[in-house]
Amino acid sequence: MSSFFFFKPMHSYSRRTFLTQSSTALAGLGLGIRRMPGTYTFMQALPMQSRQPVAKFFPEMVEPDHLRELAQAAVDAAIHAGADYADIRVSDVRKMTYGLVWENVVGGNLYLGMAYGVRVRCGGAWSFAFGADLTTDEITRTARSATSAARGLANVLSEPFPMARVPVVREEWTLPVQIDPFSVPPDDHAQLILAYSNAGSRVPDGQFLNASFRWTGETRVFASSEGSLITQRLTNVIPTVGVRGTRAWMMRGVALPVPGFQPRSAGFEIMLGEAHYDRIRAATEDAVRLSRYVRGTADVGRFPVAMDGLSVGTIIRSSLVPAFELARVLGYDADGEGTSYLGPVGDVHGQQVFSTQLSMSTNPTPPHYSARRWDDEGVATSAFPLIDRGRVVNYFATRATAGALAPIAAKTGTPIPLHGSAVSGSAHHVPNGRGVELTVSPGDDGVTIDSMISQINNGLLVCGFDGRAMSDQGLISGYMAPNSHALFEVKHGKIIRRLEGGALQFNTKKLFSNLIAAGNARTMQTHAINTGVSAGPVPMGWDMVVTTPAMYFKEIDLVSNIGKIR
Amino acid sequence: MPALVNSQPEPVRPESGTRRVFTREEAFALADRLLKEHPQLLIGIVHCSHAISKVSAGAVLDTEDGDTIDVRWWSAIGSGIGVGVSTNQIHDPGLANVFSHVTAIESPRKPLVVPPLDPDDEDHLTFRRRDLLPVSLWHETTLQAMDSVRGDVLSKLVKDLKASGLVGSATLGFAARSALYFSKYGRQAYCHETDSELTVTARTPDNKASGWSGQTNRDWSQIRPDVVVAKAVDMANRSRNIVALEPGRRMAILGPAAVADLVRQMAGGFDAAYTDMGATPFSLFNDPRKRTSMLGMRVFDARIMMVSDPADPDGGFPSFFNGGDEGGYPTPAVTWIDHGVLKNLAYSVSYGMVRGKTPCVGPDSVRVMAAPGVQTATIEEMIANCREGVYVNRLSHLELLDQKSGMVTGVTRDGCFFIKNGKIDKPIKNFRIHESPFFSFNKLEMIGTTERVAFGYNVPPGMREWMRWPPLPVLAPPMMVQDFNFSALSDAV
Repeated sequence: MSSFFFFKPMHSYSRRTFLTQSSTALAGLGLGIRRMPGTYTFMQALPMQSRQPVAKFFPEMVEPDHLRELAQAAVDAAIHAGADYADIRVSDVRKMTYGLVWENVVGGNLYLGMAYGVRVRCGGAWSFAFGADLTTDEITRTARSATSAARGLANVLSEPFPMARVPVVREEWTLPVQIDPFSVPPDDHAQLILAYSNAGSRVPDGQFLNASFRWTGETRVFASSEGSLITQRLTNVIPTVGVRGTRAWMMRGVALPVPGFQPRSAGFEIMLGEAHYDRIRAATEDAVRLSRYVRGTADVGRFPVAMDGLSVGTIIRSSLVPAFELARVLGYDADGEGTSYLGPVGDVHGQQVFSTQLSMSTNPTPPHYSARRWDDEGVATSAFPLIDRGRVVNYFATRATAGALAPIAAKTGTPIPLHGSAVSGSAHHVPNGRGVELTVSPGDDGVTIDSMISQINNGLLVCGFDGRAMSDQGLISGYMAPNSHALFEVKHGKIIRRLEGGALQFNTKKLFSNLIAAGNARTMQTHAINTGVSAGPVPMGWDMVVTTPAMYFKEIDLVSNIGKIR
Repeated sequence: MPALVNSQPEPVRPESGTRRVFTREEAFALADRLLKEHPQLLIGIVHCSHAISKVSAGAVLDTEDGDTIDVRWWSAIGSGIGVGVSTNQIHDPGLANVFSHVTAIESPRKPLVVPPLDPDDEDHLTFRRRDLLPVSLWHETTLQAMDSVRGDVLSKLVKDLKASGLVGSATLGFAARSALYFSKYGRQAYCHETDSELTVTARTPDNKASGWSGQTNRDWSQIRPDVVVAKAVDMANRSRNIVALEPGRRMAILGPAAVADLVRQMAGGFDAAYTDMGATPFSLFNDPRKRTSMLGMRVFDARIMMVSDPADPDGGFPSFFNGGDEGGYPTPAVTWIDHGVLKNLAYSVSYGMVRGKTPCVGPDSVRVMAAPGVQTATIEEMIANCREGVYVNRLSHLELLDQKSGMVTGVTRDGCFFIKNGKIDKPIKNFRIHESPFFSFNKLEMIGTTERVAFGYNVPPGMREWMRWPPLPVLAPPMMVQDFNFSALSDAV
């Protein structure tokens, strides 16, 4: 636990002083950032106040040619050692995280990482070995070691499916950015955050809660024994910006994330612009307004529920998206995270499983967070639907699992669908078929949150819930505890109070079968989850980004979440 | 200067380069080199080597071998402000640039929001020159097994699972880990450890019944793969033809894995700072004696003890704080609960300084056991003494809902049975549970013998660098408790 939590600030400014000083905001250093005199950051004392970009704190990036040579050497070593197939991901990663750590103090962390992961197949056995020492000796030794491990197991096993065939690719691609975030001085990163903070704090009874920006720059090389050699230079950001109403008693105010700050594959330019300040002010005003509702205790029962896009996103992330992972459907993770209700493939594919109001797809083109031209198996990426008006039409597959989709190919008379959804969290990880960025289609133009609320005679509104919805080993059921920060009682078409002690419990399939309406495009919000947020100074967790409209559900169980132990 | 931790022999450098982790000498030499130009920093070096194999549907899906190095530097020691750099690179001369990001932050420490307390300072005698407890967490047998036994074990696993007629999945993993924390003040702590785990899930071909078993031990030679497979298969076969049972509060017989799953959620409840703030089950409000916690009060059934001992022969853990700017500070053996009485809370180094208490890590690794002299019972004896209740093999997807009450929700998994008149009556559908272990431990009927529990490999992608696997040891007994809240049916198998 951070010790600063227990201390009073020694030199904190009063809010009045802070507002007075920050109201004289000046233009930033050529980037349109509103600089604020009278505030301090760690960075102001640093030598890079002399406009030294963040990149200068890192060693030079490894030349792509060198990464490619290493990759090719590893693949050759594996084949020479007896592998039937080998591929490798080699990466040079730099990350920086700048965030508000206390009212007007910005902290920063840097991460430098290099990694490789060699995957080989011998007979029916796969083996994966990884490391971080980017030398020819080490990487070829690792490749031989992986081959040896696979060969030792080959006689025991049978491969479930033949590996899907894909074209050989030898290309390079760089994600287009206008301003490389690593070319920006840390002080500008800090000033931008302070300027955002100022915008939120100026709303009466509003509080700027948090802001952090995690930037990643990566060169990733993929090589395979089939001849593919791919180099991609990727840049992305995971921003977190939140505001809260009623700062008098901080635990009781409604907290809302600010729309528009969503994970993107883009440069520093997307953090600039007046629109962000307007969104911060609007979100703070919303939080203040919602905080003013009186609080009451939830009565359990079954109610119609309207949810904003953010709250729906938590459910989709926990219960819906993982269900499309083919490895889960096939039971490969039965001893770990669990299985999926969307199997067997032949029985479920093409079937109406959810409401016709529900369509969900994934799109790996810029500026989407998952943007890249080829996935971590060298397969060309493409946008594709997973749910089409309630019907299951695709899965997240890898070359190793795609054989399970043969029934689909037979049914549709098309080749086995492979859309490039193999993802390694880093080069240290085996590529798995999973969703990184999902978009749920909006509904009719006339459907807004207000129109949903107006339809509710006795029901609930969930708004601004950015926590975790929970599921189970089969993803069949879910549980969501928004508490009084995000759960509201609606009577006769109006919000009447905030509810404490309530949680929503649901069956995933039934929930999305009971979807009455999806909101219009203006209700779309993005929920981003990063499981590594609290794990270290530089988060490296499993990211998933879900953008959905608000939704109106016919009924969900409201259960008591209150625990009294004595 | 504090003593170094290990009295054990140093790791032997095997032929395979992926199996070794930094020895004490290597780690110290690396720290010396990396801090040469910036001796004022605190450095943490964690080196992990893993060998993990997954089996499913009668085939080995894949094996994953490799090592990760995590080097981190902190500057404002004791400030709690997250300022630092980290890397997995140890050779690049350009790293000096990265250090400057931290060192440059040294100068503005005065205006920081926290007092610049330095726990190594002469004024804070509580924290000075305490020796680290010696622990023995390293087993050559485990290191050797990483290479030598995997093929044999996996072959037999596949064969046995096929022979059972069930669909089997299993995870076999070995890990070696070393950690060093080093600062200019003389804070030096090093530890190396090994661990191993085997878990097996067996499911009927129709996916309607499932059984699970697992064993974990720092010494691989103590694990019995045939027993693990047999128990999982038996549990799955017994789980055929499940029926639904009405949810509600019932007598529960919780297997060791189920108890350990709950215990893992309890660690935060022992945090002293949160307790003093009124945010844990042990917080006191409006106490006439101005106490803020229940220290010294009976909080659990008098038959229960909870102890964290770095030198626990069946588990144990490095005897210093891990991670953050408090990394490397010594932590003693702590008795949390003695005959049901709350004896200690967990103080971080910084909060311990404020309160004048000895800092200790929380009960993330803990032994829950019957107090001395208490008669223990086997699971069979518990069943025989149960008129009507539910046996739970393990729990899954547990989440803490409310820190103040310790309320958690989750689902039963891989073995759930209705018990009637002292016998297992029938397998039943899984339940969602909604319960606080702080409550359940007050409603104890019977308690069994403690054992270390396996949790299975479910590290999310991208988390290997940060998450410890296998998790810190939790040792738990089976328990029979009243009024356990099975709040809803779950269709998950």
